[in-house]
This record gives sequence, structure tokens and C-alpha cells, in this order.
Amino acid sequence: MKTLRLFFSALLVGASGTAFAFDIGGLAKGVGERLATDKEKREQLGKGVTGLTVEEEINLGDAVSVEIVARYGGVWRNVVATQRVNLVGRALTRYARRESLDWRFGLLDSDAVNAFSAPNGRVFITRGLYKLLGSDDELAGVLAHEIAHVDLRHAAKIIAGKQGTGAVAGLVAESAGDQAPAALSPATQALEDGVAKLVTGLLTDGYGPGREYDADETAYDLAKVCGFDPNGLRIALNKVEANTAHTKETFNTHPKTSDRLKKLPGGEEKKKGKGK
Amino acid sequence: MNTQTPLRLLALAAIAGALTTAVVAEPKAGGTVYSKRNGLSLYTAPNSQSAVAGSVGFAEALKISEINPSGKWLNVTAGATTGWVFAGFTAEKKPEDLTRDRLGSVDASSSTTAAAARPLSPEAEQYAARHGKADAGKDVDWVEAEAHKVAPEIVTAYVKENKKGEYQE
Repeated sequence: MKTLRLFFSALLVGASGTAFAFDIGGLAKGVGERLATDKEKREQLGKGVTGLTVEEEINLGDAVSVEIVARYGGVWRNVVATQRVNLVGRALTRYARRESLDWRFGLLDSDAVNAFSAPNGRVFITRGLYKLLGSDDELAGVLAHEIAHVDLRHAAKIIAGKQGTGAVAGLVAESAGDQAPAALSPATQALEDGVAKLVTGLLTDGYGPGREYDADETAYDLAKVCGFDPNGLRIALNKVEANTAHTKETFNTHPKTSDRLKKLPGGEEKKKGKGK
Repeated sequence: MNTQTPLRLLALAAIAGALTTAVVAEPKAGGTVYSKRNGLSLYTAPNSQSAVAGSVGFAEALKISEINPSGKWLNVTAGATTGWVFAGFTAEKKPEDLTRDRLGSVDASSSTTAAAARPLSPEAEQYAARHGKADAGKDVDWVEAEAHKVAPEIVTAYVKENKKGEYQE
């Protein structure tokens, strides 16, 4: 069987609680020195250990959402389907760790089979993937995987690591009519760099197999506690695997679907008829 | 700017370790879990149709005395209040202050509070314009508006009608 790659990528996210490598909050000036007192520690934790203010995180999440939408065909303005993904998604997020985020779920007008999540809890699923899915259990499995990336703050790796660092300038300059980076204010440039790093890091390097498996496991637990069939993600992945011939995009940074299926919790339970 | 200082990496390692805990608690009798919600109801029996015995605040410690056979309800004590709580509303580790998650539009620790629709921030709108992606920005706003129509009460009704979460039988 040819190599099949994972499609549920899951962008960035949950920026709060992560230490951003770009210097939006001034965190890069020396963590140890800045956390010299308990008071300072509390203040830093209040900013989510990121050095980002709420407003900065909102700006970053919003701009990343713009990038996701722009790169995947715009939003599929199907009111019924949008209401459905919001119902199922927010049923799940009632039990998420970051339940208090303003979770929003939308559809992308793309044949690609993929899903993403952005800081602030915006989750997007492509039309191609949505149409592959049948029951609410399957949809819940896919959405729970994206929610898990947010809940587990997997953006930390992209933000803090070296991923995407070399592509920032290219991305910033990619669109015709862009202002030259030098013309931007420091705050605006920081936003540009942050978005570029997140988007590029995700699209080129991804989260890595470990975090994808973690998100799968967390998604299983979340679906289960919410009362959805926890094997919904397994069913969805099987459908993805069976339909990859129709997929336009394959992320070679993700685990093979067959490997994910092997590692998903509940496999043995399923065989014994105890899947739910 | 060298942002990859050893201290930064240490901080990140600590964060990463803290992020590997389960979304929901895996409780044991005698153990402690923490409330993920403010005003979380404790019931007199392990179901959401029973009377409310009291409520607890966000991140409040709950001492487990009993777990029902399904494992989904915990009999807990918090201060002078004892009652049953749905396990999905508890966490193994004390949740951090999520004030910053609330984004200014809602005290979302209460799922019954209606959040205001929040269009793109001005900075993000400017970002979209700079990159020739204003249409994408409008699309994000459309999603926001449609999502906002799905009020918390509608989500709760869906959960209840479909016997999800604390309404499971």
C-alpha cells in the first residue's frame, strides 16, 4: 500500500501557555531575570507564560485564520453545515480543558481533505473532508482532534522551535502589493513574523508524529466523555485512507494513516465489541 | 535576536511536560480532581436530573469519595458541600487561570452566558488588507456571525436531546 499521510493537520493554536520565540511580549529578554519574584511569576502566568497579551493573541489567531481561509479556497458558506459543525464542535468543547475559549467552527471551500485550528479556538474543516464524513460521531472525532491540538497547545513547538524560521521573510513578501517589512511598525512586524512562522512551520514541518498521536488519544478521550462514539475518529481515518486517491494534498510530515489507526486507543476494545 | 536561550528552552520543557495531561480526569476514590467550570453544580444523585446540592468555583479542589459504575460521575466534597459531579467537568490537575482565554467577550466559565460575536481585530483586518486577503477576512467574519447564531442554549439543547455529556444515561 502506498504511503498515506495524515491530513488532519491542525494548525497552531492555543497560543496561550506557549513561549513565543518572536518577541511580541518581550519574553525573549531573559526569562530567568524577568521571573525574579513571585509577583512577577504570577504576572507572567497571567499572560499564559507566553509573554503575549490577550489582544496580541487575538490578533495572531485572527490573522492566522485569514491565512488558513485564503489558502484553502475561502469559506464554504453552507449555513446548515456550518451550524452542524458548531453544534458538534461546541458540544465537545464543553468538556475541553480550554472550554472558556470562544470556540468557532467553519468550513473551507476546498476539495482537499484537511482540518486546521488556529489560536483563539477557531477550527476549520475542508468541504472535502466534511463530505467524507457521515455521522456526528465521525465529525466529532475529526473536530476533537483539532480541539486537542488547541487544548494541548501544540503550537508551542512551532512557535518556540526552529520550525518555519527560514521562511518568514518569504511568506511576508509573497503576496503582490505587500508592504516592505521595513515599512512596518515593530508591533506589526512582530505580528507578521508570528503568523508567518506559525503557518509556514505547520505547512512544512507539522507537529510531528508524537503530537499527532497525542492529539488522537486526547480526541478519543474527549469524544468518549462527551458521549460520542470514541471510534468515530477511527472510522473517519479509514474513510480518509480509502479516499486518498481523490485528495489533492498530502502532508508528508504527518504519520501514515495506517500507523495512526494502529496507535488509536480502542482498537482492541473495538475488536471485542466494546468500542463505545 | 537570539530567542533560543537555555532558560527559554527550560521553560518550554516545563510547559511541554504540563501539557501532556489528559483532557478529563481519570479519577480514583480518595483522590482529588479540580473543577473546570465556575459555578459547577453538584447533584444529590449521579445524574443531571436530580436536585442540585450546591456548586463549586473554577479550579476548586474536589475530594472523591465514590465513583459510580459508569465512571462518569464522581461523588465529591468541596468544603461543606458534597454531591455528584460529571467527570467531564473535572480535571486531574488544577487548571491554570484561564482569564486570558475569555477574550473579553464573555465569562465563558459559565456555558450559559451568551458570547458576543467578535469580528476580526483591526490589526488582523489590516494584516488581511496588506496581504491582499481582505476577502478571506470577510469569510472569517461570516463564520463568526454564523457560529454566533448557535447560542450556548442551542448547544445545551443539542447535548441534552442527544444524551451527551452529563445527560448520558
